[in-house]
Amino acid sequence: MEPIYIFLIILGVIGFFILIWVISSYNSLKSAKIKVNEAESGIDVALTKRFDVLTKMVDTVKGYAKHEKETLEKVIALRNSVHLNNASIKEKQDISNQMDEAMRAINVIVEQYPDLKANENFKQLQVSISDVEEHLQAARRVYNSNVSNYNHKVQLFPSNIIASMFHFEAQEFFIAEEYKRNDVEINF
Amino acid sequence: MICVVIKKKGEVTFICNRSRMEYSELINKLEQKRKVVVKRICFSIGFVALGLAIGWLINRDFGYAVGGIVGFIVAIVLISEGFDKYKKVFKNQFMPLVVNKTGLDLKYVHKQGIPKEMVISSRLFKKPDRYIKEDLMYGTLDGVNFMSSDVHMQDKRVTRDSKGRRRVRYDTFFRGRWFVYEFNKSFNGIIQVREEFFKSHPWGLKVEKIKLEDVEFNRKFNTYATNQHDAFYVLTPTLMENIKKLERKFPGSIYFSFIENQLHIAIYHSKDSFEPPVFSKLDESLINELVSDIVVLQEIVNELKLNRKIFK
Repeated sequence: MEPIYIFLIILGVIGFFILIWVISSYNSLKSAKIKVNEAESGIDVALTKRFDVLTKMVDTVKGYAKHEKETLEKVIALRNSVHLNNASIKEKQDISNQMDEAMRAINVIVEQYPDLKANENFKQLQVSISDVEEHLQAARRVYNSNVSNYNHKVQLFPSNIIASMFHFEAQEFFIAEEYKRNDVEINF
Repeated sequence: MICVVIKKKGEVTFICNRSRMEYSELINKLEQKRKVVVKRICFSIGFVALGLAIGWLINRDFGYAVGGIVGFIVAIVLISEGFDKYKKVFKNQFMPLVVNKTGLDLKYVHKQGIPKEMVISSRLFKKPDRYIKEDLMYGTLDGVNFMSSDVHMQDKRVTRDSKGRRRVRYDTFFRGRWFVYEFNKSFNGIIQVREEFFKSHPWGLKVEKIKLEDVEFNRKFNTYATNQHDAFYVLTPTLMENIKKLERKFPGSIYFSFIENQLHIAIYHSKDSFEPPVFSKLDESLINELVSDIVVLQEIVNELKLNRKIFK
């Protein structure tokens, strides 16, 4: 066989393996990105639930609020203006932080009014918010775990070559406030 | 009866005001029975030797074999008869006293165990062909319902020898202590945490392998769940820490299954719990050891914070 054919066959084999590697790297990056997006939807669902329960809580404590009124009104306004689907992860983080602030304000009010603390409807909401908080924490951890896996693929050699070729970019983590990193344990 | 629990440098001691007479009388009774068993073991060795000798004197070709077998059968009958009596008193009279001594709200039934269907529902292991259970403990600890027993599961193996004869053999695939607790979180699906050298999957389920953020936890355990969110929802950083702590406490492999508001914990250590000692004396140290084995039930509730009920 002519040396040129041998050379072409070797080149073809190498080319074939490179193509397989490109396809599998691309698919691996794509599926990691899909997992990140799914996890982000999980955060949206958890934030929406938290918004809903928080709104009900604000409605219940509104009458008792004096100094904290502004913080609570801000949350209600936020609920009406924000579309979680279009928000970036940074914006979602800010929304979550504002909800934390509202939650703290509600805690202050509850401490001042024992009859509110004893209110059955409010007690039920407390149970719901605890569960919602747990789900949000889980959604945040799932998201960060998937982002970490995806970012590894985007930044480490050799998959970073494919990542830059097809414009896969590293994603931001969802960073919780320091006290939120621990398990949720809301004691009213 | 009032019991005081004293914890000092990791040792748990229980002081109860129940009549100490009752205890000492029972311990003396058990000691006598234990000594009878030991004596019978010694006699049995003599019987086997005697059988061998007589057999050999009668017929030097195969007489010793017949004599040995006869001596061995006599020895087995002698030992098991004595041991059964001793075990009966230990399990039916002594164990309830030890359980009382812990001061925990639980009941003990020697000849019962966790139902087979409940164990199978955990999907930790396959359906056994032979299921043996004993030493059931059940009750409520800090408002958490629980059940615990020894579980022994075996697989039936049918083989044929070179002459075509059918032989049935039972292979053990789990032998140890099983715990079932009421779990305080609601979710659909299943989560399993398995400590094992060889990877094995939950039985008969479509699950995904979950990688949690705790590197040490991932190194020690294989985690499987029907979905990623449920696994992260149930396995919080604190729970993972406490599972690691619990794993250090128990020898053998430990398995966790969270399913239908239940937490199953299976400890595969190839031992029977709460068995009477034969060659060591029945004393306070043995009682304290038994008590510690029972107190583990409460320790699991505390370690895994199963009594935290803010979600219900």
